[in-house]
Amino acid sequence: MTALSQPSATVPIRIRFARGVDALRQEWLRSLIMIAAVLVVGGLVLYPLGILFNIGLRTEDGALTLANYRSVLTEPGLVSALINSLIVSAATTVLSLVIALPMAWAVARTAMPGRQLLRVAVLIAFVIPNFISVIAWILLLGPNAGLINVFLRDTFGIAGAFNIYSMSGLILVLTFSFYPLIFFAVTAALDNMDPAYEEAAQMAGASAWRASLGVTMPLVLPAVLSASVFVFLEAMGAFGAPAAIGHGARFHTLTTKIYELFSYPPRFELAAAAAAPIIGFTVFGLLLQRVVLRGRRFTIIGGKRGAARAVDLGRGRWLLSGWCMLVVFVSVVLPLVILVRTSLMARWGLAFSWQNLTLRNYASFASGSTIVPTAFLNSALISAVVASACVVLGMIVVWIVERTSLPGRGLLTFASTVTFAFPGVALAVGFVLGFSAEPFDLFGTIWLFFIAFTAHRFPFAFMFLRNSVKQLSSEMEEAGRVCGASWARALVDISAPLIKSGLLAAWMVVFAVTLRELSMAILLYVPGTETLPIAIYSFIDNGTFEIAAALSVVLILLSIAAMLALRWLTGKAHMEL
Amino acid sequence: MRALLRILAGLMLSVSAASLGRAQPAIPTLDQLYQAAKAEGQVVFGGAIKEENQQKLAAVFQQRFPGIAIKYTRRSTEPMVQLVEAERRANRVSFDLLNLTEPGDVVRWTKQGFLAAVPMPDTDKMLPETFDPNGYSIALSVTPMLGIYSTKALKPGEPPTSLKVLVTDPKWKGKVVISRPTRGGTSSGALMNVVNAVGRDFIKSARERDILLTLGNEAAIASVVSGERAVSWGVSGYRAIEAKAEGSPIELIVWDEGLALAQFIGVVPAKAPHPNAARLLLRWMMTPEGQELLVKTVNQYSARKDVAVTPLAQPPLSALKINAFSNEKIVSEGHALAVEFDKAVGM
Repeated sequence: MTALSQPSATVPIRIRFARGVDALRQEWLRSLIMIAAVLVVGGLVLYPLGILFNIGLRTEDGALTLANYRSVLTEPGLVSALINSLIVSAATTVLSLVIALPMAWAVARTAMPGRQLLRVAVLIAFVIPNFISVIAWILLLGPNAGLINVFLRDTFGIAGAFNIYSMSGLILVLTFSFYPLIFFAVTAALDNMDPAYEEAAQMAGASAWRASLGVTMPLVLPAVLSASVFVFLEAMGAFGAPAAIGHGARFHTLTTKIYELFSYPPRFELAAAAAAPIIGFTVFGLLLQRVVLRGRRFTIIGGKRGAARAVDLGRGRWLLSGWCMLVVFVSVVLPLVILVRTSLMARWGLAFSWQNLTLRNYASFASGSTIVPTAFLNSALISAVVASACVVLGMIVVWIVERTSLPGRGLLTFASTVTFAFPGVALAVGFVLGFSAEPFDLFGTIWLFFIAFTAHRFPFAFMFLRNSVKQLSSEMEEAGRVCGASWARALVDISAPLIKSGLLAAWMVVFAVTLRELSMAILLYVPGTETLPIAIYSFIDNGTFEIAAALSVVLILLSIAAMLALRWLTGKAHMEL
Repeated sequence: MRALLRILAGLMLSVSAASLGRAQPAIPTLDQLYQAAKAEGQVVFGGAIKEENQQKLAAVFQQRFPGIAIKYTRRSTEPMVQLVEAERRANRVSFDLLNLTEPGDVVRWTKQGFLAAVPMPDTDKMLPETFDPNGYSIALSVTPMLGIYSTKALKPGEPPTSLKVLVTDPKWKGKVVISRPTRGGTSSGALMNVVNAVGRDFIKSARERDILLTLGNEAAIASVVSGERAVSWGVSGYRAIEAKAEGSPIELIVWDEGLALAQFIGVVPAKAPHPNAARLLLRWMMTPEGQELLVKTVNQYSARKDVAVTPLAQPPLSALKINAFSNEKIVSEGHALAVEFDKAVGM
């Protein structure tokens, strides 16, 4: 790292502030862009959260009180829900690491066959909406009628081998939904990394294995750690799967408990207060990252990036290949087969026979009486706009955090990540309250979707881009500046191409998570602003699982199409997601 | 002194008479409401009726009352109430007319003064306990909370017909699925119906009975359709009737002890942006014409006793043993039962 990029904790705050003011003076355009970005991020995130925090401080009559925050400890079931969330999130994170790390390494550093296919398969696992995949898993692992259990019972006489209605069932579903986050982050880091480091180790006599374990993995530690924090927080904030499985298994997680506090009768004050621990965990995750990575050097992208030499695994390639295939089969093929199978059935509860096969569910989308065409267009538009906004904004904010000594970077980092695990329904309440009156009367418009989803999903872009920038040496950028390039030009023409893989990964991940976003949309939509998850939810709510499944398949295809379009637009030789 | 007392008594009588006069205003005709609604031009309607069914209703309404557009949002009760509550805090009311399934919210809103009274004619022709005498709410339609069983899991003759057998016979342990009773919701009504039939003590053994809980009626029906569980003691009847008609492998159970009735309640917020259009739509839906159309499109029963048509040729409500619980009873007793049930099963 350069001196500029070193956030000097030992320098007095007075001097750091003075440096910041100097920096602001020196380049007004850069300063203007940065101030605008800080205001946008701060406004997007802190405004609705402030509204919620304020609600938590009020009685129903509007008087100030701390009783709601105290009640978080005494409300029946809240503490146990919190403990359940911690257990589920920790287990999901550990399992995701176990699954994703070998896969990411195999894809980025070996000659294992089918690597590009594996990248696509993992993306599919990620884009299957959580509230859909959980239905698929219930149909697969329901103790009595789950297809796998029925197969084991009828073939081997093993009854009730798996029970999806359990905490381990929930951990399984969440793991298969979230391990792609670690996979994406680590493959992006490995793709970005200059292979010279590993080659140097090998030239010094280290085996390929040893070079990978001793040199590569430590260098991608920031990506591993931040992705682990991702997964932990994402599991903390998950709602669809915990709601479906938790009821059956008779336990609450923090999000299902908070959702309950928003219902029958809604206790907004207590619900807002109950969301506070999630902010605490986000802050804890950030601090943990900071402590673990303090003083370590991770700049591994220079200007002489070349292709990494593939590690020869020998017989181990079959073992690794088998592992990857197993994971893809379980996390992608099985739920996808269930979805496609259901989408082709005239009536899903009946046998899968020729008489029960139809394409009617897909044809029904064209009907003028459904919201599907509108939802399709809205989802594509919202996801593209939000992904683009998050990446552009994220790039600027990450630059401020990682490449400047401006004061308040800690607060900016907090604002950029705090919504990560925040329950969507709670955040949506903040947006409804904050954007229902002048001067921000945007409720009922698609603009509120842009704003709310950007606020909720910005942490993905921030963390992905931060990983990339952490790896990037500032020498190239500084050389450009010395040659007369402006800050913006150096950023766009030099640094951005060097972390192209990270940029694309961030865009795709934000696009995918926005495309499947339901918990906020369900409160924000009005006629004309429905999204695909809203349409899918409506079909499930109507009992038409077949059409919901067909629409889920369409949603997955849309995600893949977006990825291919992005590849075509950027002219990439291979997919780097 | 006596003269003064007489004057005071006279004044009090006058005030009382005036109050009574306000409590029982003249009920406007549909035509009067239509004339007033014309200036508003639209009604914003929210509820759980499917889009395509609502479009059928809207087509007839707009033919009958040209110039009044229906702007409809389909949202199930839970997120609808969350949205309405969030809007209330922002001093905003978007909806003119709401159709909800949870009596708890309606009772609460009535007490809080959030709702407008819509005086209704012909209340003598309505089913008992389906309307508020003060006009703050009325069931647009009703459906029995029917028992269902999986024809894949059970052979003819096997399914139970008695709630008492279902919740006491060891044979049915681990075979039952229900939508988790919420505080003052329709599933609480179904739970009340079981308590009504077998007594409150059964709740204590609910955990041992290994009852599968789901989030919402649809998931409970899906569980029976898939064969995951064999029986449910009470799901939203109209959905069960539809699922059966569409060929799902389920059959309906009318319990020997009777069925609870779920209501689809219509309410108009006091600050509705288009109050006359809202009243007009609500009043029209409660006419025999509106009710017949509602039954045919949404497959729920009419809340009027004088409408003979039934959903998908099902027997009339009069042929079923119905245990009618008022909204207030479901809220007060249902809430307590739901809490007790949650505790018993370990939620």
